[in-house]
Amino acid sequence: MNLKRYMKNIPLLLLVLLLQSCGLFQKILPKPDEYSFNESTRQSETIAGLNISNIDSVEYKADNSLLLHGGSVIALATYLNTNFTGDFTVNVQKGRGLKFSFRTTSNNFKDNQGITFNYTTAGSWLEENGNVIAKFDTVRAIVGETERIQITNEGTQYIMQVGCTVIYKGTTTIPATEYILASTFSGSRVLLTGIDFIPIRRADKRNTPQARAERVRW
Amino acid sequence: MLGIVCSSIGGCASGGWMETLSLTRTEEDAFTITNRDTTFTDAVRNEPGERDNGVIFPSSRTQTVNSFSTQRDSIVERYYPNFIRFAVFESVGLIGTSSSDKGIGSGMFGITGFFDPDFASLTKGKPRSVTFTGGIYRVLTYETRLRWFRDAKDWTVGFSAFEALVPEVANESTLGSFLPLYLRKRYYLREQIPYIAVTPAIGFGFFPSQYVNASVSLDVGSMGGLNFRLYGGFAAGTNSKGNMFNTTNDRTSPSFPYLGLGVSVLDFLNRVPELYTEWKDHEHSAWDIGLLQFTLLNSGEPSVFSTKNPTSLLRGYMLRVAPTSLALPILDNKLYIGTSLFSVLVLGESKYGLGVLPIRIGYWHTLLQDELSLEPFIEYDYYPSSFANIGARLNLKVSNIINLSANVGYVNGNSIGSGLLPPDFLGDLGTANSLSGAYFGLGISIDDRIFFPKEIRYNR
Repeated sequence: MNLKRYMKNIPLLLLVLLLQSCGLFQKILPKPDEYSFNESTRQSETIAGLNISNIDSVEYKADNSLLLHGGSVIALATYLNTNFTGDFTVNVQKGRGLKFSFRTTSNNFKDNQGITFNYTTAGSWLEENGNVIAKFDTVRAIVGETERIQITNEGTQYIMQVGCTVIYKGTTTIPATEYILASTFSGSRVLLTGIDFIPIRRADKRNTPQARAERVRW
Repeated sequence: MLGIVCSSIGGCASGGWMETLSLTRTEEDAFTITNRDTTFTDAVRNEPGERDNGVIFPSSRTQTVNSFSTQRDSIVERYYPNFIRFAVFESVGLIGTSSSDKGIGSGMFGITGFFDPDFASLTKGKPRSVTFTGGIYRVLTYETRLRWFRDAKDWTVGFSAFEALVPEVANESTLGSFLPLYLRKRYYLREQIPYIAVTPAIGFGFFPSQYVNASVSLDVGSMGGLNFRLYGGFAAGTNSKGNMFNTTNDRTSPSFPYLGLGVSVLDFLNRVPELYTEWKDHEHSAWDIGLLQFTLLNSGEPSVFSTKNPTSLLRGYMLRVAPTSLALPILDNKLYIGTSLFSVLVLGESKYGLGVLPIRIGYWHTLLQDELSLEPFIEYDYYPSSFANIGARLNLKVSNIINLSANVGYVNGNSIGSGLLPPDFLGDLGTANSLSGAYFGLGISIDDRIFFPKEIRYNR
């Protein structure tokens, strides 16, 4: 065996092995529907984003900014933070506006939309499982103007804040999840900037009924 | 949590062999359930004796109100396939790769020629003419979704653990590589199981040969891990002097066009929507798919294991490599047609038979949901041996990858039915002669998955 000749090929083999080892191979492949926000901001949690609508309906603009075209749905979440404040700066550039859904997940969003805050140029309203529970006719999006929207989820309570005004404090029995899903109305174009999820409480894998039961058993 | 993060982490999760090879993507969602409760406690501590209560005198009753808030979390995990295609073994019989007197004689599907005496060997002065002059062999092929060109449909990128493109007997013409990289695009002609697709592909081999292999194939499958492919392509590359294929003193640069007919086993194909279907909801076409079924047999023949004790309990064995049993949508979906890549049946000394892609027809009867099943069957092994095996197999599911079985049957036929095999081709097993007799055996199946009626797609 001519070892010298084999040695020449070893870097090539190692490169191929490195690229094709299970984790790295998957990591370097393009994932056009997945985003990551606040990666360069130390103070903030990294937010994972998943476009669950048409691939061209969401544009990644910056590290915490997204442009949503009509009919888009993007799921945003941080790892295990089920109690948190979601902070968005919203600029409706065209069309009616958008809605934020929380206490739901990207996996079963079609069947369970949780609590939805609709923010449109004609007014705002809150829905729980599709039923309108509150209307805010004076809270309106103005095309071209920016507004800050904060959604706080804490235990059974949730708080909606638009600008400096807390417009609603409510309670619900729907479990808290890691997600806020932003979706635009047809024909709308909305710029989201300053996206931030400020954690309040993190879910704990040791705090599940199963984990508790196992601790008792052992 | 969140599948998005999990999938980017890579998902080499713990669990079965599927997960070890990163074939499963795990998604997690966390939920927090908050319970708020209030306890009211009333206490009346009356002193003994008479007293005046009412408007003027306060009551001795006290009330305590305690509010509690408890939070518990729920982590839901879901498991999805993490691959477009995963195949354990694929072989293709090629024509047109060299002249018929220099070809390896790989046979139909690239495997049926394995047992020919002149497979991959030339005898000086002996005339030779083979139809399948070459072969392509791939082990452990993995393809994942390639989402480029704005998420263009059905592109994949993947590799095999090892691939060999063999155009002729001469070793230096073989192009082989560990981890060759392949790009494929599938055009589906049929989007229902079994899928039919036209697949252009280009592959690059890196080590020990460096080569390019461009091909187009017509793919039919997968059903129960079984696929058939019609190939056309062209391969060109180099073997440097002294690499594992090239023992000559010069670098060789083989290039050859080819047409081929291939088969692959334990080869599973997912379309993109299936990547978002949880494993537990996937449709299955087979009653049983496995890597290996091994059974130790007792028969009326002298034992093959010990010449000193020919009447020992263990006389022979039965082996099936990559068996599959496809459910047929008749007789309540219990009738099946099955095959395996290879089958070996050794009743005892000098009584053995071999089969390549035998045909098995049986009736799958579930005796106990999720645990016990009985399958009477008849298997015909037509090549290289020629025999029929009529039997019944009782399967006990131990886990998703291990099963135990009890087998009983009768076999009748000829060890060297094709006339191509030398009678002593298995050496230590003795000189083959006619193959007939009854047997009973206990077996173990490894990486063998038995499905039950609710999992079969015809029952959904």
